Amino acid sequence: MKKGLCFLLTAALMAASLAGCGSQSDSSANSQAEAKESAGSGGSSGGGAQAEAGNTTEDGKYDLVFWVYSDAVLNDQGKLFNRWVEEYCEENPDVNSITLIGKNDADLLTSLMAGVGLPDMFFASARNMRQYKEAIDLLDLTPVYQSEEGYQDGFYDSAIAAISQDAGMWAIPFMSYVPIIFRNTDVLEKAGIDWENEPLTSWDVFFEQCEKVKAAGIDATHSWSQGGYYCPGAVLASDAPNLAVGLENGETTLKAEQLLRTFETLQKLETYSNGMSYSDAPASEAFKAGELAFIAAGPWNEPDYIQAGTHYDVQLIPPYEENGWTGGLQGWDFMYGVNTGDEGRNEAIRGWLKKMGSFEVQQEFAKVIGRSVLREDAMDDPDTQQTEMLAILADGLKCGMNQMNFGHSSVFWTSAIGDVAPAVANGSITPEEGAQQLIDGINGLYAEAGEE
Amino acid sequence: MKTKKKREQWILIMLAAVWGLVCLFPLWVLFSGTFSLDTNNLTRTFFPNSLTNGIAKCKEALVTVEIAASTVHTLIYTSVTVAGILVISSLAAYEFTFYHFPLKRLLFGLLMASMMLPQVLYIIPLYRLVFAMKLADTFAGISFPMMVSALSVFVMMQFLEDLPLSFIESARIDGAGHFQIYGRIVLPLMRNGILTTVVLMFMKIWGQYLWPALVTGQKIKPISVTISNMLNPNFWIDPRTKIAAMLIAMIPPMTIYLTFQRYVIEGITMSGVKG
Amino acid sequence: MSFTDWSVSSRGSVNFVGLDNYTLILSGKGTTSVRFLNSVKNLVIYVPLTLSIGLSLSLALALITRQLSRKLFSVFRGIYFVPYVLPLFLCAGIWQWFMTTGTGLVASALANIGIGRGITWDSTKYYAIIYVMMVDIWNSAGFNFVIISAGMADISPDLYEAAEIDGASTFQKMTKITIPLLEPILFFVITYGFISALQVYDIPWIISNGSDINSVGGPGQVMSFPVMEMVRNIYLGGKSGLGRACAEGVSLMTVILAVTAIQFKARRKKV
Repeated sequence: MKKGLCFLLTAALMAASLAGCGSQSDSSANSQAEAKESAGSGGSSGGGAQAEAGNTTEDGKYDLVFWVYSDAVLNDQGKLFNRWVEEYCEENPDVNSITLIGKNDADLLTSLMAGVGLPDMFFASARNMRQYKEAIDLLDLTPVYQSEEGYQDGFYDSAIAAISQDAGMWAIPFMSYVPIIFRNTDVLEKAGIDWENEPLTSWDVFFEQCEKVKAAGIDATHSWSQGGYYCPGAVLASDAPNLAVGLENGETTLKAEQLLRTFETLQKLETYSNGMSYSDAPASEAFKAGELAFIAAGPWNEPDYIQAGTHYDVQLIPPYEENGWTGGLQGWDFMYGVNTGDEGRNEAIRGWLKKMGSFEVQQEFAKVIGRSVLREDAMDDPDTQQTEMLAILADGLKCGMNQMNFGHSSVFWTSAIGDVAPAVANGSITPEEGAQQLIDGINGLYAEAGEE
Repeated sequence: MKTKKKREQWILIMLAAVWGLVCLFPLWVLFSGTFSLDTNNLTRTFFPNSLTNGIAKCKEALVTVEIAASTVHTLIYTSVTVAGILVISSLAAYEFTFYHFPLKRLLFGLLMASMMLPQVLYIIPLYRLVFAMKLADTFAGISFPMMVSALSVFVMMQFLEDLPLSFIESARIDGAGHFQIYGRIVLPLMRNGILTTVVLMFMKIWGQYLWPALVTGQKIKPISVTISNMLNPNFWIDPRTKIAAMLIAMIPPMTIYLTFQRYVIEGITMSGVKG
Repeated sequence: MSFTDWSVSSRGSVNFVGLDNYTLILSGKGTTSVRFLNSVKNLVIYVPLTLSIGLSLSLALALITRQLSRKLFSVFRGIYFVPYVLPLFLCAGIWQWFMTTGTGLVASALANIGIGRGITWDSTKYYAIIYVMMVDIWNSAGFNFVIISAGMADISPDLYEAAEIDGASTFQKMTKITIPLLEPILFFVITYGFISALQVYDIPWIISNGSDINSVGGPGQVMSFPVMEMVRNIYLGGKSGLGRACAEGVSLMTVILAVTAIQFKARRKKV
């Protein structure tokens, strides 16, 4: 009999490890056996408490759970969100508490796939909105937008368009960004550039300044083709008015000749490159140490340079003509609600999300954190634009290009440029070949996702 | 003769030291990076120059990034898991080494196969199961699935193979039951295997990310999740604080290894004399 | 699962699609398949090289340190194990500093002796694989070393004494006694190393900026490996994402199983 027990143990052990291989119901049964076995033999911690987040109601009040980016629970952002939560719980007698849990996009997707243990609200990338909408029962937020005259008008129209589909509105547009260029002004001075009077008004000006920095024996910039889509995409967006972005019969409507200028610019940029990618720690360290003049980065990098005491200014990705269309791919983040099936609870969720979408909250977020938001009225308010960064971001968000068709598509088509750019930049393929490869790459992504 | 031997020894020490340097250098770089001024180029700081700044960064890591709390949580579930692994794997190893039973080879093959399946593929059904058992976000929920470790069975089997079958047979003739044999003879003789497993598994579980990230939520904070949240590229935490946090996170597994190393060596020498 | 069109976004409705996922990933047509086959090619280069170089290094280190006094041995063992204890993302992070073109310590040292001058290691074909290999060997040598040297300790000192009386040199002792008697341990290390090398994931994932799912494996998948492609399929959430990932997983596992079975057979014959 004991031999049998040992046998069972080993069998269960393996069955459980193989759980994923078989069909689903099968694997559950197997691993169940395993879990019981180990509970019997391991005899370790008791456990077994109810852990499903936030589904318990105390005194008829709701305890809500809100998944956020991990920075929203730290430092200044943490304080800000905590205060909003306190305010909301006071304003709304039905809500007992809101718990903020830091999760990143990948964690979120895995949890969503599992389909269990979902939060009440979550703050996540707009890029995955379509996946979220298909995978889980999102809460329709139309009542939020209708509850107050003018509420909806405050947002950027494109953001409202992204969240509206199938006769519903599925998220609150919250945060946004556009890539920017930091200039190390100490380096510029050494290179004899009067930086205060010479902003980057066009790519030509940028190249002139690169030339001067290079002549002074300092690295001008990092590689604009390494490190994924971020930099080449930023260049591509400078040409946005000339691009026929769209999808027809499963293929992009872009034409190869529309992409040539981007690849030629990338090739030229490479001549001033020190070979690092923008996101490498060595690149930002070099920038801080005065060994690099220009770095393409995001607004989130600013505190790093402040702390290191670097002298810098902020510029948008330049346009091709003076006062023309500036570049940079816009990234957006939304706040979503989950349909909990309990109308009272859903109301509490909508109330919180409405607060998050309000002018006051978004303006305060922008002012305190220094990140741009998706409420146009909050961004354009002179009170918001007091810092250099926010004023520039507000400008930048009017141009550039969206990373993808947020909300309606799951294909992050601009990411395909990250695959092609290095080969064009190092000269192993011509800009013409690069343009064609990019189009093929984009079509491949659409085909893979099965979108038409 | 003697001098030649001595020279030989020195050459060997030099060779060994070269790799030792290669191993330690990055650690040194991290250390000097943490204890340096914010104005230094972090990637090329090879000597520490500011003790106070380093201490400030460590403090920040422990408190703000919650490394302290995460360390405690991780320590709990790692210990529980390792204990579970020891029980399950030693029994399984004992079983596989000394008994013949139907389908043994098939089962062993399956065991090996389970090592080869990437975790990402079965993690979702596993999470659904743990959730259904209401074990999500509990120490038990994190630990149980990780107790299944084909690697540790394999390691222990390697150690058991050297054990003479005659021991077991004579015990069986004396009328000892399976669990008596296992408890009185096999376990004590497997000490080295067990210690090796403890060390290896502790490291492995300590660094696990995918599963703990999925199964925890608000109550338990695995250290790997805390750190990877900190590394999220789209927001800023002082780079020196990041390194400080990672250095602190490294201390527990390192301590475990260094403490157990003594026992492992002792055990190995003992069995070396015996066997 | 590998026979279904399951994906992140298919709520509830999962259909049986037969062998479709397999024909798709092996067809060589379409993004998924091209990427997967590229990653398999990388793997074919990576696994044997990593295994042979990594193991010879650990074995050499074990042989060397075993000749030293016990104190020195345990000091070195403690040191060698350090990289294995370092969290993987930390390893990958430091190596990224070292391998930066131009300023990176290791990259410039290699450039000085004429290796990879002026190239970007993480986005150049073949160099990217070598890059991953270096980090992996550095990281895992300590693990293999501990197991191999533990195995060496089991070899009875009597044998060495007898050999010494017979006038055997240090080198002879190594090749005639140590290595043959280590066979079971080496077998374990090889098998395990093989299995984990096939599943290489974390290091290239971090180096090729995997925090962004869209840049997995670097440009042209120069640093892509099959498990990374699986994860990409799952997270991109496209049609049949999970189904395709599982099909890739099962294909990979079949290969591993076959090779392992051959290894076991070969061993049995020898013994």
